[in-house]
Amino acid sequence: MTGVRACGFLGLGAMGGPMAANLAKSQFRVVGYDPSAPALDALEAAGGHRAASAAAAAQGQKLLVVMVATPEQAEAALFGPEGAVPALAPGATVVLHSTVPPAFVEALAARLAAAGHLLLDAPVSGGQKGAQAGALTVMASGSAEAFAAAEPELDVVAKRVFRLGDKPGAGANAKIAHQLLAGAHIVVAAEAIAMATKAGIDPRLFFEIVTESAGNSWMFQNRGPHMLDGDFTPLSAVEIFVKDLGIVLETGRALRFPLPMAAAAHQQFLAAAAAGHGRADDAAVVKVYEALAQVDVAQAAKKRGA
Amino acid sequence: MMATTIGVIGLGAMGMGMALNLHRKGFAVRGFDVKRAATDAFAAAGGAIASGPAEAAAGADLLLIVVFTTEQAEDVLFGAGGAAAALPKGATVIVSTTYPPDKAEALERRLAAAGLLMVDAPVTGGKKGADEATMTVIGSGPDAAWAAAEPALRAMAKTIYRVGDKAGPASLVKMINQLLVGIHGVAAAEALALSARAGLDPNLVYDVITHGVGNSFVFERQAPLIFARDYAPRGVVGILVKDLAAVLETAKGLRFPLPLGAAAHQQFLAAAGHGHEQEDACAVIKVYEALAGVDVAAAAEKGRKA
Repeated sequence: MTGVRACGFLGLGAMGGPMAANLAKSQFRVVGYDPSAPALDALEAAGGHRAASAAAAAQGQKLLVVMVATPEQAEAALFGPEGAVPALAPGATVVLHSTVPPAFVEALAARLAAAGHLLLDAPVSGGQKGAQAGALTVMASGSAEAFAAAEPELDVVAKRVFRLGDKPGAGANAKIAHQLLAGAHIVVAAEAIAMATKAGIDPRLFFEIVTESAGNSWMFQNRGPHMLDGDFTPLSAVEIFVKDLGIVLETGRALRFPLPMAAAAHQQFLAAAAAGHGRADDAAVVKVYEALAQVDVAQAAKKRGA
Repeated sequence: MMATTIGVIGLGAMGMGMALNLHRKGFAVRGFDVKRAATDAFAAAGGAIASGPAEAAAGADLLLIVVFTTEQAEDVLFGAGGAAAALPKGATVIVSTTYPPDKAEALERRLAAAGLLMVDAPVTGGKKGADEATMTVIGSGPDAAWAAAEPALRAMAKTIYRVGDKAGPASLVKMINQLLVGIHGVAAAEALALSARAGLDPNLVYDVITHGVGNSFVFERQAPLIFARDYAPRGVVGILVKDLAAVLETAKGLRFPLPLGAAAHQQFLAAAGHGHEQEDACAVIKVYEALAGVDVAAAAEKGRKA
């Protein structure tokens, strides 16, 4: 059966919260679970239903959406005490939107298959804004049945769904390679902006030049303003890239494929976390350069702007 | 007084020499290795062999484990036919594996639950040091375990450090040592490859460096091997892929950046990916040779003839 507009939803954080809310507003019967009470309140306010455990959210569902932060959380939510999997209806589909190692996804697909369920490996990109707007990019792989079962959910949360074949793991691999670029681009944006500032160039002017030139990137354009404004309100935190570039490097290690750029970028995010900026916006990696070179990008941007 | 009985599990590059030195110095040694060739060689040298970990451990005062990975150490102790159940209560297990300190701590807890003591005892000094009983032991463990293990450690090593009274600190010191070994190895290769590219005689460069402040133990040891194209495994590329990953993981847990360690790790991964995982670690030179089209050994040979 396809097209059921009902699902369990595990993980109602910065990404999962708005995704579940959009589903609830789109005639989906969403039963959500998250350990955070305010997250459950927000789901109820959007028209969803709160559950007391992962198992309760999954009870009798044909479709279960998972948007937790780490593989450990996914493991606990699905297979831990009061975990979701035993509560699912027979032949259910689990849609995993989290960024996790490809090896974890492959193992998960096998475990779900043994329990009679399908997995759609469906990591997303687009950040909190994309989640709020229902405009995420999804990189998905799984069987035709899993795609069909997930289609109503994907229609709501995604603007674009890339199909990467019928084997779970391909989606995760694509997302991991994507995170390599996303992470490296943020660090190199910070490096360039801090260097230009040190050299006495107006950082706002420099930003304008780059965004009109071949050195531009999506991340430069998106995160540059956070650095210029000194606004590190966490839209996506430094710790996310400590984790995601860690997964990138683990994957490269398993493939015996060297990733010197990703390794260097990871170290800069670790340096930012070491300096106490782990929970700040990922653009705060610029503070590593600022501290070492004694420059202040936001200060320079303000001065020139005045 | 009866000879101290000691089971030795893992008769590889390091374990063989260590077991033979114990045997020569009057310990009643029972050796085991999953490789038949290793147990045959030990028997040929006069050692007694066991059919499995449990037989090596049965009734022994001490158990020495010299395996490659944490998983192997856990398996020989707690797997089917494992050694832990066969040891008398209060016996001491000496673990000479290089692994992250949290793994050493976990192993100590598991052994304690089985009524056993542990000395965390990674070693350094290579195969030569193990064969000639000139290696260094970096150890940590409680007083009772240390007192029991010390005579055996003295039989195998020239230098013994005790860096703490529980498992963990010794592994941490060994990790930091491996961080330097890895970085120094890559730096040595990088410098030699650059010399060849610049048309210098590598022999001359070796002479200058080893008499100056750029020298390192690893440079001094590896350069002659590279000049002789001698990649016979002493410590292989794969060990540094594993050990540097463990160092980086430990530092990530501490939120401490290791940019040089990360860069060195990537070069060993490149060497492994290029097909040299089982060659001596000095084969990391081949990454530079392949990328820059230089041949350090040929340049050294040419220099000797000139």
